Amino acid sequence: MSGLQSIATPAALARLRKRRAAERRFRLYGRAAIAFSVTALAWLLFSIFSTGLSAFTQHWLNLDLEVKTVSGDAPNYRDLLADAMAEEFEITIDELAQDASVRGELLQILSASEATAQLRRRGQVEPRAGAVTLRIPASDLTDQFLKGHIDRGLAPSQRPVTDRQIEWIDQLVETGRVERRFNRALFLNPDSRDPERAGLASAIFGSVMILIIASALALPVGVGAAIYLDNFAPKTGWGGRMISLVEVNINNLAAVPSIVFGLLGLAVFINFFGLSRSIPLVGGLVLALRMFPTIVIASRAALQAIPDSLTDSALSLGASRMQAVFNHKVPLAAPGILTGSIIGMAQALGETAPLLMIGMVAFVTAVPASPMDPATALPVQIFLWSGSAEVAWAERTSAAIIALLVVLMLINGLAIMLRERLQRKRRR
Amino acid sequence: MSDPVPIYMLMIILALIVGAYRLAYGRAARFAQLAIGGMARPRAQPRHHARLAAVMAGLAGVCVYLVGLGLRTHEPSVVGDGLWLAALVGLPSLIIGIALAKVRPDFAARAHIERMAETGLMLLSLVAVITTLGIVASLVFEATLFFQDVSVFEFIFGTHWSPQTAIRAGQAGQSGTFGAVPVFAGTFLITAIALAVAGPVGLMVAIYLSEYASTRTRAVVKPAIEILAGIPTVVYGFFALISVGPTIRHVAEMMGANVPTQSALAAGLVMGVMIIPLVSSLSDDVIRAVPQSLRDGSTALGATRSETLIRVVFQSALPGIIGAFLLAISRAIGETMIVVMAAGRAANLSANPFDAVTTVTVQIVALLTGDQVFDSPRTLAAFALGLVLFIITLLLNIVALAVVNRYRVRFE
Amino acid sequence: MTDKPSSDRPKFTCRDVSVRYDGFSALSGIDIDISDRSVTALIGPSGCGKSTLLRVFNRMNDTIANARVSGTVLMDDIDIYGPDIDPVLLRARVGMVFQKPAPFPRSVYDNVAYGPRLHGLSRSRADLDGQVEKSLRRAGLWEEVKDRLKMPAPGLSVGQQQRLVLARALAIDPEVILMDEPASSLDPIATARLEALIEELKTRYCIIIVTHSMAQAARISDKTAFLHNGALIEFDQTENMFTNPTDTRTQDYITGRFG
Repeated sequence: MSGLQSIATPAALARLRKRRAAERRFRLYGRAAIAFSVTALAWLLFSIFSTGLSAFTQHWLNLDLEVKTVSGDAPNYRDLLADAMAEEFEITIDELAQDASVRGELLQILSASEATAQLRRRGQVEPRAGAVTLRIPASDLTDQFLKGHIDRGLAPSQRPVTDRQIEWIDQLVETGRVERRFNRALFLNPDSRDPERAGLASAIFGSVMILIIASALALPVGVGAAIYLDNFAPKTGWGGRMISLVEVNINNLAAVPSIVFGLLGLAVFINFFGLSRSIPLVGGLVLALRMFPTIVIASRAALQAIPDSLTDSALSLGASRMQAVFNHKVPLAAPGILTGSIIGMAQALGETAPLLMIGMVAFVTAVPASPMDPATALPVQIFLWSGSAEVAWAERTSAAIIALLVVLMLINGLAIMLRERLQRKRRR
Repeated sequence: MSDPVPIYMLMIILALIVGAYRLAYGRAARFAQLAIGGMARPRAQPRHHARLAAVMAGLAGVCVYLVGLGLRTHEPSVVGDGLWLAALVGLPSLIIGIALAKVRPDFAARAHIERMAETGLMLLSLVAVITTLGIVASLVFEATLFFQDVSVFEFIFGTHWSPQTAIRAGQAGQSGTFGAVPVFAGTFLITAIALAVAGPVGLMVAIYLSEYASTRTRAVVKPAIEILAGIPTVVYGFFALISVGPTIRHVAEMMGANVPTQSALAAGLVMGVMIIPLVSSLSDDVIRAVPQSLRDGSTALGATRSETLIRVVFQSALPGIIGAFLLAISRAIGETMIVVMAAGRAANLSANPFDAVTTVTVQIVALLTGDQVFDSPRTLAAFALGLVLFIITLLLNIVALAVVNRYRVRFE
Repeated sequence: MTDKPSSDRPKFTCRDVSVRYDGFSALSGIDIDISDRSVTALIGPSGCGKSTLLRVFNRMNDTIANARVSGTVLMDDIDIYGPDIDPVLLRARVGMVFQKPAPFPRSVYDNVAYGPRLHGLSRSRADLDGQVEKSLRRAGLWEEVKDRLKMPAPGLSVGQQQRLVLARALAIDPEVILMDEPASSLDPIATARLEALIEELKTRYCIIIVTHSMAQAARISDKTAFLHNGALIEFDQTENMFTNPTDTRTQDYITGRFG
């Protein structure tokens, strides 16, 4: 040891070593905290994407079936389909008679609801028996099996597919009657009890309508309130005290749990005003109230960033306060207001709890045509699907989440882009 | 009643507004031109007169429209569409006439229109107050109905929560027991777990990023934290359900314990991760507010960096950090989707983080989703729980915001 | 340690010291010897590098990202920028008082006790009490605050605050005290008190003071260094410097033609 250490007392040096160790520990805690947060994010994204990406494709079957009859008063299409498939897989009538579960198992490998629907439609056009070519989605079971999500090595009792079903699926694959295609149904279909037919269409439409209604209400009102509070509100005396109460109120409203807004919507819009449950109009109203404080706070921050000298010089030229504010201050604050509002919209898009309160959890199998039709919203659809047990639902829930996250990312990206562009224009 | 909302009437109102604008503009433009010829300058420009007339006409039209809409819904016999239509055209026309008569050089139209605009803006800022009043009124109203069936005492101190089934015949509320203690306890347990994660982690993230991290680390970690803040809670809930819950169960199984997939721990951990960005950004604000001169003073006395941070920065920022934690608690208590999906619905009175517990928000969702008759004690109980939730979070927010603001003043 | 006999050898020896921030050169090629038990004043126009030079002596420049110090700085013949020197230990021997007094937002007592607690200088509570009292006495503040040691330090007047941070620096028992324009936020009476204090303290400590007041430099310092544009222009006995400067720039500055 040399230097200052050499003239420091041994006690001081020992103490210094301890202090340096404490310093290193502290820094380590910091690193650990960072690592924890980043790992949590990575784990979340990985688990969502690894389960969800495969749902963007779907296995389809091309089947040429000999159907006994496709017309008649009320033919049992399921039985007809099962018989035709039994023939396809060369299962004798004896076998069918002996084992009652064969028919059920046969119908489980394709989307039976889709197939019978096609047969029915066909029966109306050309009512005769004969060869039918079906292009239909595989059942969720087959789809999951082919995607490798069901382990064929497991004991038959442990897996949802039977040995026979595996045989049939293998046979279909060998004869080239299975293809994997982009899963359009996921975006174009409304909700369904069958995973292979379920889609996000009604949820997407619902979310879009909710968001349009909410923004159309909350944006003008929120920005107007912010402009008032920032420029026109009395600062002193009785009025000033009232205004500071309003401000405290807005700050607190922003931190009120979103589920409370749902309760408000339920009590006021549905119970008091008698609007229907599950409709985008009510969802939009509730989320407008939810967004309002966020937009006011963001807009005020943007307005406060504009120096007073600007409006002052306009005032000195004889403009009224209203003119000075609207012609000079608001345009300059617009990028900030816009960014804040878009981020508020992104938050509203992810809101789930208030929509549950106003009954947007209904099972909706039609795409809503107007804001008065029952609908779900994207996050609510995620919640609904997540509750179902089958493997296919986990995959589709994750896919819906991926879709939601991508939209959110685009919205936030748009906000950043707009801000950059508007700011650049102003500088020029 | 073919058309629930007659659109053509809105068109008429629009036409009236445009007509009022044009007429007033025309009148005002005439004397504006005279002014150039040497007369006294008019007190307002044509467009101000025009705007005033248009706004007056529009207000009158919209009022008639709304009144008519309301009357037609409730008293269809009194108001026919013909009368409505006549009023819709008549009243605004009258107003336009008065407005046109007022278009004179000495009429200060600009001051009038601006006063109206200011009043309009003020009314907008009152939306927040109205919303709050609406929340309070609806929660109190429905909760009062609930407390007519179930005593407040039973609700707050009862230890048995079972809204579906009656324990014995003739029990208060008839359809179940509403002792909310297990619900409060579950909320508290999960909040405690979430804060135990988010508090230290969020704080250390803020400190490390602002005091130690290299520019490159910051460039990676800051956006990551922002992404955490932007992920919808339903996604966190699903993550807890399919990844965190099963992982905890597996780990517990390896150690020979049997743990359900839905547990307070899974929900609390994930909620903690969700709250990290809130704590770290609020802490970052207060840590940055500590003046550099204090840090320099400590450094010059031979303190190491962490000693300066803990003994000076931390201590000075403590009120702000406490405020941040209070806001985090309020967020955790009000969080819904994560607990709905990952904490379970069983109302266990338990302090064991591996048990499934239930929370206030979970019960509100459970009581109000699905088909039910409104006004049953079951649905009203949700509003009672909502009232408790609102009061607690409101108190936390008020205290937190007050603490943070007072702290901000101290260093300015 | 403060009682050891003074020797002729300088307390600090700087050879070819330069400081750069991000490519901007704040100080270049400084050679200077600072004597122990005396007051050395650093003067010069704003931005000349006098504060940067002051911060060289306790390595406060280390806390500024992107600051690079080159050259040799010896304290008692030991290279304080050497690889085995811990700046924490160095700062325990070189106290510093800043332009604006920044007492920690806690009690007067805790402010003074901060350093001793940090460095473990006291063995008992009574010991610490003694150190706090001694430091406050040396800083000339004891009589004013002895009855309110528990009151929050930010409640003191600015003049008292500045003596409090001086006491805080004295409490770690340093050998050197660096002062960065300590009187700039004080009124004339408080300034006079501080100057009298410096006069008293120089019998025990090596004091280096940055000041923008030439009158103050003339009143209190033994030697004065004039810096300009990051270079040391002139360094001499204060008397000589103010009566007979050799460099025209020094002359211009002290006669008030620039700066």
